[in-house]
Amino acid sequence: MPIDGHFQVDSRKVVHETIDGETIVIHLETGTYYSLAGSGPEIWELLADGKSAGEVVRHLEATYSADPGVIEETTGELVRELCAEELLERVSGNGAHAGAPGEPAADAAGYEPPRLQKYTDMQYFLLLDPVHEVEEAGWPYTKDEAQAAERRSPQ
Amino acid sequence: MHAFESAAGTAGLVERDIAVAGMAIRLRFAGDELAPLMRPPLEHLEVAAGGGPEASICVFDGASTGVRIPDFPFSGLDVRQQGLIAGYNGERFRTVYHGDILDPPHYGFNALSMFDAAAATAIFWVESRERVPWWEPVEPFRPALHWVLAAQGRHMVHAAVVANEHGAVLIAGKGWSGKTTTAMACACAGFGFLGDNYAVLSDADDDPIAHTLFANAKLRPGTLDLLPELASGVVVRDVPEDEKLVVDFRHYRPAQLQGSAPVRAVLVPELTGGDETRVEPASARAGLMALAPSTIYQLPNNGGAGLRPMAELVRRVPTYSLKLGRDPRTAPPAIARLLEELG
Repeated sequence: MPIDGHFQVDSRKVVHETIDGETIVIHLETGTYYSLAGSGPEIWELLADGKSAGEVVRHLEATYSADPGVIEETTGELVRELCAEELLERVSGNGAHAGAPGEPAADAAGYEPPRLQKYTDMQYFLLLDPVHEVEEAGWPYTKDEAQAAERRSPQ
Repeated sequence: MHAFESAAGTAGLVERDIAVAGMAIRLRFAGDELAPLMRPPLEHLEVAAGGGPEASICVFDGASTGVRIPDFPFSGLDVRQQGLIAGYNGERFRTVYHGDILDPPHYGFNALSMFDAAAATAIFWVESRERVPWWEPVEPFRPALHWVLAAQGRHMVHAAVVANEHGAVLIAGKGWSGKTTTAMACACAGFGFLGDNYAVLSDADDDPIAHTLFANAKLRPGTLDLLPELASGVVVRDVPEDEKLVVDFRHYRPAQLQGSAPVRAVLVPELTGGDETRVEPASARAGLMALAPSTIYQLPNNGGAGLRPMAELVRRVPTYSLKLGRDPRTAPPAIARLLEELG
């Protein structure tokens, strides 16, 4: 199913860097990080720059000689996946930087579908130090909260 | 701050100035309860008190000073991942609670780290010295240091760092990757030691330079089987199973405790089980993947500000895969050869 609309990266939650043709995306709140390869970094950069998904597809179609249907399908899949992982969020309206897509890359080779690799091995760091203590003095919980928290705690 | 000033007024004030990556930070202890415990790993950074520091870290406990901190205007339910307190982590203020609600009836650490960016002041409070877990004095005030350093363009990086006359390598990787063992093998072979777990990069440096932070190394007990010569450096040998051994370089090899060194390479260790250690070129992407996630997730969420300097680092210096052999003593010669080539 074709996908369109504008998207944005919430920089309070998600940081990213592109290096060696791959984009590393780190979700600060979930403990999950990702690498984007293939055409993924190009799609990511265009979307983060305010281009709509439709504009990105048209840009890729103008740049690469691949079957337009493949480009549209793989781009749509990636965008849906990025949204599901909360790396992108849909923006109502036309987005902040809506405009013509960039010029097609002159030296572009064949189209490589985007690949998103997900890593969860660091999630436990976010579970360290996350919780706190219940004291008779009452801080940080009130007594009722403390009792409720104790009931929720595993034995 | 009122509680700290009150505690210092009651118990006395102990101040020490340290320089981290060229940044002057004043450690202010209310009383002498926590200073003997928390100061040593930063003692090698101490400098003579000079002009006004660029930031301060105020440290106190409730038990010895008799000062109870004010009730907080937030609920325990506001304490989120990494102990970050919802509503108290914005542009100006940062707040992290340290403790463990899943460990009744003791509940753990019961400490608080706060930072006011506008005042360039951090606070570390703990209920009592007895609450301080073994790991905190090994690398004290990590959230506070992370905040005050980052506010001045200095960035803590999760890596071991060793150096020789040709420069330094950052050894980056997850737990059990061989990072510490390699760094210790290098120290035993005469390399300079800048850190086992953290180093600091500075935006002010024109070229990538690693700066030391903590003088300690934390070892798994099995490290001594591989490098028995480290035994004389271990502070306490008889530790519970869930603790690590601590090597204090201020006493173990003080001449090798090095302040800073130009970074020549990022090494990503990988245990191979072979006879020798080899060094093979790797991508900058591999270097960033080894450095960035563990650094960012181990320190309180700071908006990911540390990612860019780490990316800049791996763009500017090469990354290598360090294929570790069974004997960690084979690593130092391989690293020395690499540094000689790069230096």
